[in-house]
Amino acid sequence: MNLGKRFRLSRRTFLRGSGVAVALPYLQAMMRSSAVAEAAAEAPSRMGTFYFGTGMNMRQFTPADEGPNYTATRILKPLDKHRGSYTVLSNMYLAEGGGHDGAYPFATAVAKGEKQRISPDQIAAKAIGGDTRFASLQMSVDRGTNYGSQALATSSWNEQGVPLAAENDPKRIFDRLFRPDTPEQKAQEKGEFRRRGSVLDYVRADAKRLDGKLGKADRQQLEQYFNSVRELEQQLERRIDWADKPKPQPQLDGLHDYAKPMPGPEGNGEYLYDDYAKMMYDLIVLAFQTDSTRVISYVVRKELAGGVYPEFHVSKGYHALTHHGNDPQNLEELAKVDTIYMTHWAYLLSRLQSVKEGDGTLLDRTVLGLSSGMGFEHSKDNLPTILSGGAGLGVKHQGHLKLKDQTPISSMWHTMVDRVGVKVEGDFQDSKGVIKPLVT
Amino acid sequence: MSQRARMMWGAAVIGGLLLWAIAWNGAERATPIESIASAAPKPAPTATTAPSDAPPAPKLADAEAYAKTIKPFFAKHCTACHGEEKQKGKLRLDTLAVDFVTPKIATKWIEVMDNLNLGEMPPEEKPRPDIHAQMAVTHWIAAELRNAERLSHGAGGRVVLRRMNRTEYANTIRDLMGMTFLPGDSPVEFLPPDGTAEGFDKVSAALMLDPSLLNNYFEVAQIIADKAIADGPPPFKTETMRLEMEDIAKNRAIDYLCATPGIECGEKDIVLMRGSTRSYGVMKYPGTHDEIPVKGMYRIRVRAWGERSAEGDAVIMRVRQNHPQADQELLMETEVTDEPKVYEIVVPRDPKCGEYNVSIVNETGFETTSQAGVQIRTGQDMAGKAKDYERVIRLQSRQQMEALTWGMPDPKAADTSKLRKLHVDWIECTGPLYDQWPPKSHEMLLGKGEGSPDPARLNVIFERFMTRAFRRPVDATEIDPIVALCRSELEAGATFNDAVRAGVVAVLCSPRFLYIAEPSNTKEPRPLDEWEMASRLSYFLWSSMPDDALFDLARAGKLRDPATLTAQVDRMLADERADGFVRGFGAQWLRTDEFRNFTPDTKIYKQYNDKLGEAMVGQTLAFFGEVLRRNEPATCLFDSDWTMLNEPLAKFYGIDGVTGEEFRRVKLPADSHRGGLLGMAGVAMRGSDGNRTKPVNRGKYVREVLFNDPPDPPPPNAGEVEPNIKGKNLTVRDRLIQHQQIESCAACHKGIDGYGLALENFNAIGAWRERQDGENFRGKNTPPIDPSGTLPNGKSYETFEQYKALLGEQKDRFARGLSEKMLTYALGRPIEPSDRGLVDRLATQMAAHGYTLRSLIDGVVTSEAFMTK
Repeated sequence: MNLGKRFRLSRRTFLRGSGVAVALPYLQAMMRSSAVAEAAAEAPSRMGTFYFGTGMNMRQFTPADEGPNYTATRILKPLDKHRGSYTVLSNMYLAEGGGHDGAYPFATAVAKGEKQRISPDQIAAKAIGGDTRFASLQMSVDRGTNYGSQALATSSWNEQGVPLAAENDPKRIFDRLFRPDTPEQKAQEKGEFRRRGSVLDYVRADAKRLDGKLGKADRQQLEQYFNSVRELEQQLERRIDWADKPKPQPQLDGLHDYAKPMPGPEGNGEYLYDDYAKMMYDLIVLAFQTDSTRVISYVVRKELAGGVYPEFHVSKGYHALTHHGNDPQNLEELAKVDTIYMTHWAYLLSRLQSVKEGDGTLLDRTVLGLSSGMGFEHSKDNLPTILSGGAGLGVKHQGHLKLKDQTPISSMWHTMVDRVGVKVEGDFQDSKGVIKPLVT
Repeated sequence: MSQRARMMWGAAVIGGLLLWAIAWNGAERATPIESIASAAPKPAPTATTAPSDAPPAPKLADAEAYAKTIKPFFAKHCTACHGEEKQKGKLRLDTLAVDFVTPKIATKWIEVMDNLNLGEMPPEEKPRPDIHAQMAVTHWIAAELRNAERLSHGAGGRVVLRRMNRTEYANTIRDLMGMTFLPGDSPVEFLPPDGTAEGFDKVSAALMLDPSLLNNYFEVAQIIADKAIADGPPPFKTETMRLEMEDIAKNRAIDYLCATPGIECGEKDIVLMRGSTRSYGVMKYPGTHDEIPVKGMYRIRVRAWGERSAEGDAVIMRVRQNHPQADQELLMETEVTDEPKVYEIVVPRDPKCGEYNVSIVNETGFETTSQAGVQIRTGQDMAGKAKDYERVIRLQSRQQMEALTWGMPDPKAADTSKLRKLHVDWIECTGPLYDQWPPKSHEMLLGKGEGSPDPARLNVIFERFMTRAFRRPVDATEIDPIVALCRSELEAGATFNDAVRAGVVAVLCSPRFLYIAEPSNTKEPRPLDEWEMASRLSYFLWSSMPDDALFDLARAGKLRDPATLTAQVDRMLADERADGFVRGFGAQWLRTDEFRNFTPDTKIYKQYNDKLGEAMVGQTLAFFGEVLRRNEPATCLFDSDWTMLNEPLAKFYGIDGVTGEEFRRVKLPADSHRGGLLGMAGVAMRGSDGNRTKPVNRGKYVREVLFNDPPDPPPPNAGEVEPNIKGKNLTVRDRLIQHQQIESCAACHKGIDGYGLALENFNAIGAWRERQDGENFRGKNTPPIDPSGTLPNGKSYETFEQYKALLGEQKDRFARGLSEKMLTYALGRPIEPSDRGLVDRLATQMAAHGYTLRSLIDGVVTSEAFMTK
């Protein structure tokens, strides 16, 4: 039963054992050749949520007809080669969205200004993020959270409703995921772990002392501090746990090498957005492929701010274009920009599909949802929404699926977390259930 | 009693209190007000603080107005379909709770407001409600929604524990550690932007902390601790690199310069009539292949002089360094004297920079177009296109024989004796420069003279450090854990310096450093202690920690004394750290960050460039700073006969005699339109979309900024003023007036547009215009601008100047709005109904003291609200 034993090696054990980690994460070698199907069931599930701020030109997004053979619209055209791997969802609605406040309720259905709650990616991270180096990754075109601003930089919220800061420099993300530590760094790391541990011990005790002297409202505020200390302690444990396991070394054939810092593309003329977009999407593929994380959220385009780059050759900012006032040039340029973004989306799907895993592809075991905080003309309905991937997780794609009017976007999240194995009791946010045609 | 009724009662009482409580001394300064006049304060029994038995947490809003206005309206127009019998759209209004806090219920109210505003309800076939009755309903809903939002940000009038925002963090580190940061190295760059609530980044509700931010704090603290303590001599010692220009002739890499027309290599200098000289390969930092070895401050010196042209104009010299970022290239640009002089500048530089380059800006052209050359080249092109290759070759050989190119020497430059000449003797770079070594931060932490690395000193080191970091005295129980932490580091093999660093990191991650803590677990508000007063003051006026003078006063127990307080306000505002107030309060109040939200279309607005955009923001901040420091009335914002200008902006405004990038006060010509806030280009540009003006948006700005009176929110999908339909050429104003044909739109717009239309004289980049421009208006015969309008108070104006005068009549409304904003900023909490009396008093006090910001600040810092937790 030697083979059987090998098969049961967990991925983590495997990575720990192999001195130099290998490009292919989900190694065929780990599977019994006669039991590929079984193995596929063992392969991890992944999930990604994607925010495209400020809506899209829905006149050139929504197909006129339905079903798997819908007639492609201009903006969806780039996705054609992936027919069958995605579903365009019409009539998606964000009750608290529209205007430019939609980035807040996007993942949580909680309005801007209200106390937030955990976002679907973090719900998924709790379920499937336990065995990876990173429970989840927050990626964005901007750093931090921008909490308070309409141009929120993140779409992830933790259990306490606190926004999780995102990273926008592909090099920094790459370094965190893959850059091997030099012996010097390794030596320093030991000291850092120790120092971090004692600093965390100290500040927790200090906060406790302070807490005892505070009133109720102040204590509620300090609760965020305690939560953060707790979270950092867990992260530290996780790091210590993973410290002796070498980081996986992805093969970068034909990809960028992530050698240079690339702080966000906005107002940055030093590189093309096209490169940036591909590097960020490649990182997602590499992170999933090496099983460094199973959950990602990515703010591809912020609400209100930014969104176009010199190489797009359009006359205005994205937001300015959405105030199109029926000016044909504005509408044309909007569609042009949207199509560029969809071309990149098609790139991500291609890359995920190019990675074989078991008898399927990485895309089969990855479910990705993209949408916006507003539709067209700052509306709260008519959101540009596409669910991609996840065939191996039981997603049945429908081409263009027209849902009931004002179907909450949370029903897409509901469907996604359901597919990666989260048991949802009752309603999920304002969703009354999963999107049936996608799962039956 | 309803909440609103209680507020009005409170205001009336306050009005009475004012009569006896405020004693003016007649001078320009305000005397501090009533209850804090005693040095040992107690919560005063005035209506300024909420009665302790009734913390204002009203879920039920203005019930009286509901009964009187809302319910009858619903009964008349709505409940037939949304009532007991029928609930169309699952909406029932007769039982809809008057609750704007519970999201599910508040959402229904928003729906009601939106549908009324959109004119979609009641449906078309039903009788139209009276527009005023309808307005009363939508207005009431909007006001209650705003009230609920404020409540959610506040805690019943108490100041809630908050963390520092990132600006405060960086300033505090600067003052705590005695450190200065090079551009790009400030802690601000390592911390994510902060949220805002109530318009400011000072309110607890928006200053959240999440794990990644705490992690950021940890990492920034490590960088700071590393930099603060020096382990030995500086890694790179200060060196001087110099190029004597006469050496260029001997340098084979760059001696070609001497053969260039317009450049002459002298025995002691180089003479430039055109172009530039360079330092290729010569001025490397010793032992390296780079100009400089490390990011730091460097002194650049150049010895040069000029020979004027025959017309007598002076020579302008530019010194540059190569750098991948264009905005890092310029080192200095200056007119040179006729006598040799050394020109010097100290600049931050990073090692990405390359060789130096000195040029004459007002150079003479040494080449002119060669007609023969142009002819022969175009002749070749044409022959090539005609496939007459024989002719091409013939022309090519002629071109070579006669050495023809596009250009040829300009005969006008043949006599060089009359040309402007820049003489450069040498260029020199010294650096990296250190103010001192070990750095000041090192001495502040470890003490001067570097005692032995003796663990016994840890207690002294950290007592000194923690007292300042926590902004209050610390006792042994607080110091011991840090010392223990350092000792355990020592035991683990760390050096003494590294152990201290670990302690510094721990202190900088402590909640008592990161938060502005005012412990209080009593239900009753309590007076602040001296140390808390010091911090409230310093974070209000400096966005930083208290300095030694404030600490000394706190220690001496004097900081609650009103006379001391106003003296401290004087001192603090005179200090350069008051820039923290200009960039904190001034910028956020006047929304200078939004000025450049839309990039102007430079195809239409050719005058616009980034420098001008920066100057627009700079002007408004400088104006605010001037009003603050010179004690000008804040009503200058309505109109003034002066403004702050630098060269790019003065040129843009058509005002002569301003040179250089520095802002200075300039007296405006009598016919200038540039007085006050609304005459500033940045404000106009903010209220534009890059192509055309947005009068509604501008009107909203005026209401929000000058009067703190935001209009009700527009219904969803309210849209924008549409662009012109083909063939029509209507102005923005025309189209806006078209939009107002809809009665329900007009009702709201009446309250906004009057504030914005007067600004139509300023185009999308804030240039003065009297005829329509932008969009597709070109040429001279565009329609004239009509800036006339009517304010909601019924007063009409014909011109921008009249409009400014009308606004200027509303000084009291302005003073109230400003007092609310300032109080929000100072306290870091939203204004609550219970603050009403205080706001009234502050506004009155401002009016009595010529509307100076200082009188308002005095009033704020001596108020009950400021001095209690």
